[in-house]
Amino acid sequence: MSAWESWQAAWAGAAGPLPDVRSRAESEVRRHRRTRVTVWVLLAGACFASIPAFTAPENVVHLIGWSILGFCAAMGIGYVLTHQGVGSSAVDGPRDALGFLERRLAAEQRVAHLARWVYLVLCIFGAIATHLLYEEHGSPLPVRLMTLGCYVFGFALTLSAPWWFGRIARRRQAELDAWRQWMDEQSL
Amino acid sequence: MSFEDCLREHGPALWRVVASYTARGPEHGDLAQEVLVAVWQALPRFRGESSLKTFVLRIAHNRCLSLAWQRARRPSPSTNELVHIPDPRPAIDDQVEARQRTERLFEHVRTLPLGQRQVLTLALEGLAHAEIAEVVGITVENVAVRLGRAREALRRSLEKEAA
Repeated sequence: MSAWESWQAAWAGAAGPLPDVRSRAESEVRRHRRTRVTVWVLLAGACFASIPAFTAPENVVHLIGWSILGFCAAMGIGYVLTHQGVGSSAVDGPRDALGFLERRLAAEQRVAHLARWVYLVLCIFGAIATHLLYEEHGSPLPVRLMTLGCYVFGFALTLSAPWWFGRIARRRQAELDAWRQWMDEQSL
Repeated sequence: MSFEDCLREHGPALWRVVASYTARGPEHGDLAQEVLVAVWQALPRFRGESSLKTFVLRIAHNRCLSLAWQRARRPSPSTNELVHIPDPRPAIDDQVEARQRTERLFEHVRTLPLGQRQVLTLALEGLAHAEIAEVVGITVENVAVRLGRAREALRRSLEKEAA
């Protein structure tokens, strides 16, 4: 018997117990499904909440309704965009997986830009609409200022979204680069 | 094919892939879990474009490489280093001796560089060069080169221990 045949015989004879993973696998699938459903339920809820705005007599309130719908549409598109290919096959090799992670990182950065401009439009529309509404109803100044403050805060937060996301993305990109380098070193 | 059928047919091969990356112990169990969950999730996507064995072995190797990468990032007492603890008990029968020989083979396989290890373990599973190329994502010529080096390295390692 050659050395190779003896190794092969020893190899083929090796076996051991494998864990039962069905409950864990099923719970992971359920978790993914729950996350997806939650996002769409939240968006649907926001769309549903905008319905009363369209029944109001004031045109300016309709504007708020349209802002909410526009926001939901943009966020829905962003969610779909970032999750494209998330089900990347485990059959793909490690380099394919790296490519996929890089594509997803780029998509997430695009969504950060999308969120910035969507919120900007939402804040502008919302601020104008509520200002006109408060004028019509003669609302007190503190209420007006508080509303305006909320818009400014939201605007500042989302205007900087690409910047803070870029910081996170740089760290993740560095990790992906290190991974690629390691694979080169290992001749994988 | 159901997960149970797949496991019945290819479970031992999956166990051996995991054993070629980690020695027996808690890490082996964890990695086996990761591999099986990945196979469980990927099985519905199996379209029969390759053999099921090639399909599951590719998944197993990909999962194991992720572990190897994690280890490389956070070095810990590595199972890649050859730590052979001799069993003080005399071999009572052929079965024990065969098991020890197998354990020793796995220990030596774990010391090989990852690229060579993948090719060698797949060849030991009886895969043809073309199938190994498909699993690892390299050319058939490259498989032959790596396999030659891996066999040589394994032979030297076993001889060194015997000397």
